[in-house]
Formats: sequence, structure tokens, C-alpha cells
Amino acid sequence: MIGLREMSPASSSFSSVESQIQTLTLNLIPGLPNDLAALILAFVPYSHHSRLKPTCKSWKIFFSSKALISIRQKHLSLSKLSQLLCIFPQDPQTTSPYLFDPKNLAWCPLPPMPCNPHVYGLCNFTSISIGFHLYVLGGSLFDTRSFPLHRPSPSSSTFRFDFSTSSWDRLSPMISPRGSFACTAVPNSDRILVAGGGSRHTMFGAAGSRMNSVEMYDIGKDEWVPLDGLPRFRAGCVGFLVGSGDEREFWVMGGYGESRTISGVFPVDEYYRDAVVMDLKNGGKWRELGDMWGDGERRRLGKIVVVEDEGWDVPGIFMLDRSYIFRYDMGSNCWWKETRVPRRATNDLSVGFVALNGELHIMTLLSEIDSTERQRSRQQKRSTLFIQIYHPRKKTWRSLVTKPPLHQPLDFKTAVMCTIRL
Amino acid sequence: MATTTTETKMLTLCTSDKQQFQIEETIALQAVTIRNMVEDECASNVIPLPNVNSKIMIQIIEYLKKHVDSSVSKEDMEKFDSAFVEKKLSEIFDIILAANYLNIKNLLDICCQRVADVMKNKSPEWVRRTFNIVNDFTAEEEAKIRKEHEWAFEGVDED
Repeated sequence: MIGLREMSPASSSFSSVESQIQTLTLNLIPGLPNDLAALILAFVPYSHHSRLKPTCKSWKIFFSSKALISIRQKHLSLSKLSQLLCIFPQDPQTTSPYLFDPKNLAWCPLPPMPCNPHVYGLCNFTSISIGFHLYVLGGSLFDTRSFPLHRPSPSSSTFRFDFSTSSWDRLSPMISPRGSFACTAVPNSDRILVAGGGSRHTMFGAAGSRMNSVEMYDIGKDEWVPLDGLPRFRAGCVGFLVGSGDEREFWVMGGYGESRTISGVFPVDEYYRDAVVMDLKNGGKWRELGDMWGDGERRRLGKIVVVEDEGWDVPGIFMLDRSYIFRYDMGSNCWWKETRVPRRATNDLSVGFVALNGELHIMTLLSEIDSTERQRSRQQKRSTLFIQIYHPRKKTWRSLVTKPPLHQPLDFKTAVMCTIRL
Repeated sequence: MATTTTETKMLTLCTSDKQQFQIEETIALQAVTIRNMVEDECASNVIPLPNVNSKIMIQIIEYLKKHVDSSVSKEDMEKFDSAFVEKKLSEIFDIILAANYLNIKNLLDICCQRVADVMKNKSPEWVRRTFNIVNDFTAEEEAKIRKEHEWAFEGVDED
């Protein structure tokens, strides 16, 4: 009988997984060898695993094992893995993050992050996934040891959730503490890039520092190293990777730099209309692309998502700006209208915008409208999440409705989100 | 002489029940196990496949014939695949064993996916009945594990 090991050259480390499965003394599915039964169970979507655990002892062991996640990551094609949305409704030290499976309309809480008793109110952090790990980087928080107490400070903490062990680890902190920064993972090289950011807290919409520091995290070494700084101070910016192999660029778009005051009292952010790009190959120098739009066109960059599609040379970069979705054109350094959102949200800021399974998801909470009145009845009635979904290749819209089982209210203005394939 | 007939090299596959199947080499070589045997020249014109019976071989040849045709669009191929796996579970199991032995990755994948799809929206009771799995938990143990199940679904299939 031919083992799974020989099936595909890519699964070189399958032998260790295979031996783990073989140590199961119990049979998984009568009539099939355990390696093939394990492969079948690995094809079950991630969100269904825990319901099938009570089937029998061997299933409980297998569905709880590291081997299962390894088989899924190594043997299944990307499209077969479950792409899940991870939502952090509030400070993950006190409120559970949630996973949402959009294909199966299923929700699952994750354990809260390890708690530091001196800090509270963590927000504006960044979450990013690599393989079966979820990273939570930086953010802005209140520290009971700092003075004055009500001034938020940026955090340099780095946490990682491991889905194979279902536990959090604390990693080396960033060199410079920061929240509201640009961040991207570099696939296949186990590195994370962060750029800019500052100390702004969601409690104080306009205050907070800005910085130009850029760092790279080496996952294998658990080490942060400084890179060439951004051309100007920039916070509230978005980051993504363009290109593949050696031709990779780290793009940092939008955000705010200096602030001016209106009537000498109210501070107002000066929003950037441009993007800066670091060529990862040539020593990592930044180049500036210039403004992406002219006066009066829009005040600031909308919410950005990046979609990879095997049919495209470059990733699709989409922006949600009021009731339209725009698509970025690299050649002209301009945003072009792609489509109109069928149902515009009442509050543009309280909209979630993510890419899942190659589609753009625009998420709004339906109970928002009556949130001021009938506060009590709303607490008993779970709010409904309305998702409008755009397929950029087919250029079609669909929508779905789901009831998140969240105990705390969800506000997309402050919630942090990322996606993960499991 | 016509070139097409001379260029089409044929292979003979001999199944466990001693049935012989004559198929074009290009079709047969999609199975990595057969390709290795041909490349290593360890087989004569007749390739023995002692782990596959003729009933399953007919279905595997049907699959390979379709997949060797590069003119079939991606959508049509997916339609063919989803129709192909509409079989009884016992038959799918036999194809899984054969696809693993012959090393045809995509066939193995679509059959495993088919079985996984059958069980994905079902309760543990339904899965036990369908796959002849004995529940070796005590009632207390099972209740405890059920409690740990944290995914909330909009709807799970009735048994």
C-alpha cells in the first residue's frame, strides 16, 4: 500500500504527520486504513470539526490533533481550506475574539489574550495571520503605571495564537511601540513588516503621536529588526504586499501626518492622498508615488482590501468610499469606480470591509438604527449582520444575513479584523 | 502508413480478477504508479494491478479518459467530477483505495471531499450509523465533549 507520503512531492514533512496518525491505536473509519480516513476527515470544513468530535474516541483525538491542521495546510489546495474571518470586537485581553465561517454561517469564540493587569482598553492594534497562527501586534492602551493616567500610550507587545494548540504565546516586542500602523505578512519567508503608526486611541479621535519607523519581524528568530524609515511621519495607514518571488514591494497607503487646528482649538488631521513603496529587493529604499486624487475628490482614503486572483498579474486593490467601490490602477496611480454598493450603510464608518474567498464583503449591523431607543430589548435580541458580497471577477453582487452570537456589541468603527485559512 | 495509429501506444492493465484493459498510454500515465512502472521498465506490456478489481478499474478509466482531454473547460471538468462522485459510499471507498494505490491525486481528493461533504452537516449519531462507527465514550464523557463544542451554526441537517 502506498503511503500518503509518496503522493505529492510537496508534502515532504508528511512522514511525521503520518506517524502521528499511525500511533492512533483505534481505527478512524471501519474499512479504510487510518491514513486515508485521516485524509477524508481533513477535507471536512474547519468549523464542522468540533461538532464531529463526540463521534468516537479516535475522532476526538484526531480532530484535536496537530496532525489534522498539518494535513489541511499541506495537502489541501488553498481553495479547499476554510477562509475564516477573525473579529476582535473589543480589547482581546477581556473580550473573546470570534471566528466566522462565511461558507457555513458559523461562529466560534477564541480564548482571550493573556491579560496584563497594568493595562486596559487595548485598541487600534493589528491582527494578521500566517499559516495556522494569528498575530496581534501593538495597539494603543491605557497603562496604570504611566502618568497622566488618562493619556493613552502605544504598545509594542506581540502575541500569537496557535490554532494547533489553541493557546496564546507572547513573542518579542516591537522595537518601537505603535498602534494604527501599516502591516503585511511576507508569504513563504515567514516575515512580518510594519510601518508608521502612533498612539491614537479610539476614545480620543484626534489626538495621538505619529512616527515613521519601519520594522521587520523574523518569525524563525523571534526578532524585530529596523528597516529604512518612511519618508514622512504617517499613522492610520494601510499596508499590503505587491508582487511575488524576488520582485516584492511593501506598499503603504493613506493615513494622516501633520495636524492643523481650526479656530486654534480643534485639531484636524492632514490626510495623505499618496502611497509610498518599499522595494524589498534593492536594500529596501522607499519611493513616493505622488497623489492618487486631486482636490475635492475625497477627504481621505477609504477602507482598503487586497484580493489575490490566479488570473491577475497584480493583486486587485479595492477601496470602499461611501456608496462606491473603487479599484486602484497602478499605471495611472488613480482610483476608478468599480461598482455601486446596492444598499448603502447609514453610517459609513460603521461598515466592515474584508476580502474572503476572493470576494469583497461589506458588513453592516442591521440593529444600528434603533440602537439609541429600546436599549434593553436590544440586549436581549441579538443584532443581525447584513453582508453584501461582490465578486470582482464575475462582477456580481449577492448578500447574506447572519446572527453573530457575540455577547458584547460589535462596532466596525473600532473592531479589528483579519482573515485566516485553516 | 498513417502516423496516428503507430504513434498511439497502448498499454494493457491487468486487474486483480485477471481482466485485461487495453488503454492508450497517455491516459494510463496519469496514474503516477503506472508511470513509475513504465519509466522503470519493470513491467512488460501488461501491467499487473493486483489491488484493483475490474469493476473499479472501469470507473477509473472513465475518469482518466475525461481528464486526459485538454479541450474540456474547467467548468465542464468540475461538472464531470461532481457527477462522477455521485456514488454509494462503499463504492467511493473502493475508488479511494484504488486512487491511493494508483496515485491519482485529484481523483483521491474529489472522493475524499465527497465523503467529507456527506458528513459535514451531520450529527455524530448520524455519522456513527452511516460509517459503522462504535461509540466508545461513556455517556458522561460524551456529554462533556459536546459541551466543549463552541461553533454556533445557523442550521444543521436533520438526521
